[in-house]
Formats: sequence, structure tokens, C-alpha cells
Amino acid sequence: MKREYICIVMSVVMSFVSMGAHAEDKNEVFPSHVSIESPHTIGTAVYVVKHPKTGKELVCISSESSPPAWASFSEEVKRPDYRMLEPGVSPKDVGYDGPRSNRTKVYVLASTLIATGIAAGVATAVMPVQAASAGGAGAYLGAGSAIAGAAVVAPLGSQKTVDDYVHDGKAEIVYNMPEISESNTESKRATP
Amino acid sequence: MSMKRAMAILSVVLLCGGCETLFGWHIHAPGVLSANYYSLVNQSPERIALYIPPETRSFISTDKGGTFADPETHYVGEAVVPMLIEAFQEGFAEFVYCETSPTKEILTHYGVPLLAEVRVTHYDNTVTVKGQKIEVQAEVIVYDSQMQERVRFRADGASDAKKVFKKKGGPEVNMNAALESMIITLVQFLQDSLR
Repeated sequence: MKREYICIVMSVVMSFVSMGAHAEDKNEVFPSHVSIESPHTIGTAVYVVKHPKTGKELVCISSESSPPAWASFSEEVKRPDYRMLEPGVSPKDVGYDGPRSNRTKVYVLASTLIATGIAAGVATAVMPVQAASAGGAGAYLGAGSAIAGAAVVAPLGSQKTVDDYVHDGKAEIVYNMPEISESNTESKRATP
Repeated sequence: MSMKRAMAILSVVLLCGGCETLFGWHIHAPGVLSANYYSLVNQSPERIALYIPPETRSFISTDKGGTFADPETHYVGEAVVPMLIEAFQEGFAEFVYCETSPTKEILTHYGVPLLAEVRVTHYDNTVTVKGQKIEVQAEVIVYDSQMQERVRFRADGASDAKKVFKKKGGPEVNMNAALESMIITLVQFLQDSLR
């Protein structure tokens, strides 16, 4: 009797273990870029893919022959913090580590030109642009001031203004089916 | 080295590389929504598919924003696609991204009642002495499962910030902010019109 009881318990345990393994197998059916359905009639397939920036999985309908053209997810991208556009807040303060324009090439060019003895030529080419735009476009002028040392004078930062930013959003309807009630929203977000 | 020879070298360098390569800004936004989106948009219970046409996915703007500004290349498509997908993922309970061109057969086959097609129609960059303003407009067409047009609207977004070029990542974040403003308006309006 005792032996039978042990056999029953063992079989129940084994069935639970095999169910668990089966469930694990089922989960493995859904990794990224694996088709789970292929309706041949319409030439599409359903894919479960990871969002390239957040890694969150989503359902994607794509061509049966070509899987979704996604950049593969490597690591979660840090969300931008728009406080860095506020006065006196630098990207370092909010821990910004996203993409940024590379200005190194400008300095490399400057060094090359200085080395070949034509820095004076560059300075004369840059200066009229600086005078005209007076600090509006940063790379050219900022680089100009940094390049030159002696040759180029950049009139940046002569006027101190309050640094702030405004974000706007607006939506307007173009066409509407009669049964859908007409609505219009407008939102405005601003920081002083 | 003679001045003539020096100028010849400079001309060759500029011709080979191009001004944009030497002085231009290549602006790649982070392409991810800020925490602000999550505080402003609530999830709606609808099932909806999103389709972004190929021209929007690969949309690049070379509008430098001013006569004397540096050349700028804004990679709009590569940023707006992941942002839109994330926004729809969070904004709707059941979201399907339709990468292939949608048809009536596809929508009925998969039981998708609504499809939103989002197309960036306008991208404007203004560089001033004080800073930079980016304005973006998208047109949204909502279809039902029979590919009948239900509603069509435009969503605008803008970000106007000062001294962006002084900050590392400033133009990138400013562009991200403009796209996010447009996306917030788009999703909120879409949710309202479906109720």
C-alpha cells in the first residue's frame, strides 16, 4: 500500500515536472524574429519582436519572406530628460548619455590646415560668416573660436539671455466620418 | 608653401569631403519617449494597428534653418519610428505594428478593427541667434478593417529652445522633444476620436 502511494506521488510529481518543461518549450516558441503563424494566402506572418530601444516585446505583421527590418535590441536606451534644456542645467546634470554630434572632425581639420600653413586662409573664410550669423549656429562658430586661438575671434556669449524652452502640440481634424463625433484637442506645455 | 598651393589643397579637401562632412551636424535623436509621455497619456482599451510608410521611415531633413547656419542633417525617420511604436504600445491595450503595406485582407484576417497610418508631412528647422526651433507635422489617417477611411487629422509638435548648440546632445534632445510633442498630441487626439 505504501509502495503504491509512493508510486502515485512520484507520477504526480513527474507529470508536474513534465508540464513545466512543456510550458518552457512553449515560451521558447516566441523569441524575437521567429514566425508563429504563416498564412500563405496573404503572404504575411506574425512576428514577436523586441522594440529596438526599450526591449519591450510587440506584435508585428510583416512579409512572410522577409522578417521585420529592425535594428536588434542590445540594451535599453536611457530616456531623455528635457530639463537639460532649462536654464543652467547641463547634460551632465541630468546624466544624458544619448547621441550627440561629433565635432572632433572640425578640430582635426583645423589642425591639418594649421599644419599645412593655411590657417590664415580659413580664418578669412570663416569670419564673414561669424559676423553675419552672430552665434546662431553653434558648430561652425564654436569650432571657429576653438580652432583659431589667435586667428579667429568668435563673438559668442556677449549677450546673456534667460535660457528656457517651449514645447507645443496641436491637432486638427481634416476629414471625419459622420458617426465619429467631431473633436479637437489642443495642448500646450511650457516651462518658464 | 605658397598661398596658391595652400588654397588648392583646401579646395581639394572641401571637394572630396564636402562642407557638410567637415562642418555639418548629423543629428540623431535618442528615439525614445521621455517620462513625460507616461504622465500625460493613459492607455486606451482599443486594438489598433500602426503603419508607417517607407518614405516616413527613411525621412531625412537637410533644412539647416538659416542662411548662415551650418549644414544640418536631421535623421527624422530613424527617430520617429521607434517613438511612434513605443507611444502606441503604451497608448493602446492591443497594439500591432504593421510593417507590410496593409490591405483589407490582412486586417480582416488578423481581426484588426482599426489601422492608423502616420506620415510625416512637414519638418521645419529654424536656427536663430538665440537658439533653435523645430516644428514637425504628421498626417494621420485611420482606417477600419475594410480599409475605409474613418478619420483624418494633422498633428503638430514643436520644441523651441535656446542655446541648444552649446550643450552636448542639445540639438538631438531638442529634435526628440519636438517629435514627442507631436506624438503626444497625435495619440491623445486619436484616443479622443475613437471614444
